[in-house]
Amino acid sequence: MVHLVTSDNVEFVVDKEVVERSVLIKNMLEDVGETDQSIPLANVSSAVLRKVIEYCEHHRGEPLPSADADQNQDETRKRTTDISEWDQKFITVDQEMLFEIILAANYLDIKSLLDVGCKTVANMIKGKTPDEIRRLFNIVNDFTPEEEAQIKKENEWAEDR
Amino acid sequence: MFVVSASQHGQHAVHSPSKFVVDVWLVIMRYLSVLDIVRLGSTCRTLHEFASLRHVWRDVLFQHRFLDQCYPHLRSCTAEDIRHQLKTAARLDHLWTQSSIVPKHLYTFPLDFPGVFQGLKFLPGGTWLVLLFHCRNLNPSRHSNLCLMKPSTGAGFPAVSTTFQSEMCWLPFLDQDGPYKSSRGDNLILLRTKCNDGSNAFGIVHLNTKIPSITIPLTFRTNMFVRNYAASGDYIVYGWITADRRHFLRIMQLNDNYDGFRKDMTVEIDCPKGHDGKLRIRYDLRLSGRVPCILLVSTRLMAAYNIPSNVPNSVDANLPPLLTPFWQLRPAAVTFGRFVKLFHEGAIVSLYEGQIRFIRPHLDASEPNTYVIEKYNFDPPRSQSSQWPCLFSAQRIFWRSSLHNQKGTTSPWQTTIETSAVPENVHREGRVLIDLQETQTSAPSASTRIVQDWDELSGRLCMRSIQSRFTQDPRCRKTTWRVTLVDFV
Repeated sequence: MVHLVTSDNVEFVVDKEVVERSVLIKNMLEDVGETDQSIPLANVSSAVLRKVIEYCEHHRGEPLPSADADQNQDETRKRTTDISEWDQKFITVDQEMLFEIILAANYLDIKSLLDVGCKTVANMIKGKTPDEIRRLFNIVNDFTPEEEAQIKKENEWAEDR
Repeated sequence: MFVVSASQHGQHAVHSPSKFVVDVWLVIMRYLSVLDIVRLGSTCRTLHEFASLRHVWRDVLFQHRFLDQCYPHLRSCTAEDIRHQLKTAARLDHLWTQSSIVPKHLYTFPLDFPGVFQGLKFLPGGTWLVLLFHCRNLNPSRHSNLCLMKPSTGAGFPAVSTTFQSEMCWLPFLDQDGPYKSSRGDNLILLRTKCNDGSNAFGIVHLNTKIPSITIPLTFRTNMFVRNYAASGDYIVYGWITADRRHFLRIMQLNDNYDGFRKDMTVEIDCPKGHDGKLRIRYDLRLSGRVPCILLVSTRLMAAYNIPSNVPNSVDANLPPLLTPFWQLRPAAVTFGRFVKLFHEGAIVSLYEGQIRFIRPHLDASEPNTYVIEKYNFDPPRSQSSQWPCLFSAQRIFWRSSLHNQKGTTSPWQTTIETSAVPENVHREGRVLIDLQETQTSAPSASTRIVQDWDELSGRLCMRSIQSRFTQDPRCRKTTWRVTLVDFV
């Protein structure tokens, strides 16, 4: 069993097999060896970690993606934004939680969870205009008027779709 | 990385995805289309910067259904060039879903040359054209004239051209001749001819658009009866069948100066014996995969062979190493039909029972397959002669259609080109029409307008109309054309 402590000081005790879906923690455990000391996760809150552990529990025992999967062209050519049913249900959360899960997955290095989160964000972006994307994510338009005019000119073709 | 405690829920600004590190955005963009990435990049400065990264566009390029395979030189281009190319491709895809297509620009220029036409093709990218014509008057000992030209496409685009006269008399351009890009992005074209002694000669032409200049750094000959040949990247291959019906291939890889071979090997390939002298064979070089390979296509067989990295020099020329196919397809009941066209790493266009089929063998897949067969019916059925008023490209078909059924008032020099994008996955019946009205030109007879070439990279179509062919006197033959370039994006 592994002890994890979140940013808001909540301690989680998790199966080693489950928590090792996080490459970060897996490497950490390999470096430190067996220990009863708890691992502090300063970047993850308890609400988020609960979700992350739920995900890891469900996918326990599945093979981890190999590090060189990205180099595999055959795989990249068939990339889809399809999400499995369970994952779909799991990731149906409010937007803040979604972003938190993505950040946690990136920090903890859980590739499959990061992919699920990013696919969800990608699906939200699809087909939206820049204005709609800004509104969706509260992005502040920080272009100067000249820059904006230039970008608009470059992307004229993308306007009327 | 930022830290938020659970108590801050509801404060949107803190959770803004603009706080995502670049890695996260890179993963998100892997699942977006070209259009979506461009739009995402126009929301704010940070995302604009992320959406301009080379990594992003290379990734989109690798996923594109044909660009990376058919134009491998794009991989080494700058982020800006790759992005521009993908945007052009996305715009073309969008255009071809519309019910009618209005060209963006259209310009016409006269093309006069004192000789007989042998070929006019775009260089990949559509900015330059290469012309081959024969003329005995200009220089009696060198009568093959190659002309590389960049037509003026409006104010600020000066026309440029250069001409090269070759001592050899080259045959007209065929589809597999190019122009194509070498592995280092140079424009090459392969010319071939029959010599007086019965041998076949090939010439590698380097079309340098920077100077501009034309050189033929390498010519080579063979006494074999060449069944067919292919050239792509730095590779050239030709094949022949021996008297005992064994199938041989010579595979050559050009050196960096294109004036010699880095590799030159002869192999025998394992394939069914053809019947005497009638076996029509085509080859395609497929260089985009991890191992370069050769695809052999005949009416009843498709077979793919890996190009060996090295072949020991055999003492006995009759006993070259035997290559066995890593994949082959031999349909039992039907044939593939008559092959109309074969595009490098793209589609094989065949005609079978009045149907045009685009066959796309996927050799890079872990299980090579050729299930991607798209059928296309011409309606009404067109002439099945080899001289169709059609242009096939790997992704599109263009053909001329008359307007006689429409309003009788249609001006005689209005040309309509019907075109179809090759349907992807779903069978798309929708044909699209391009109406080209050239009011500025005097009326060339519509029947002499020929759709000459299409450049997929730039979305540019080249047409020519013949105003006068040549005079009665063969000594002063002259060809006068109007060439029209049509830009779709």
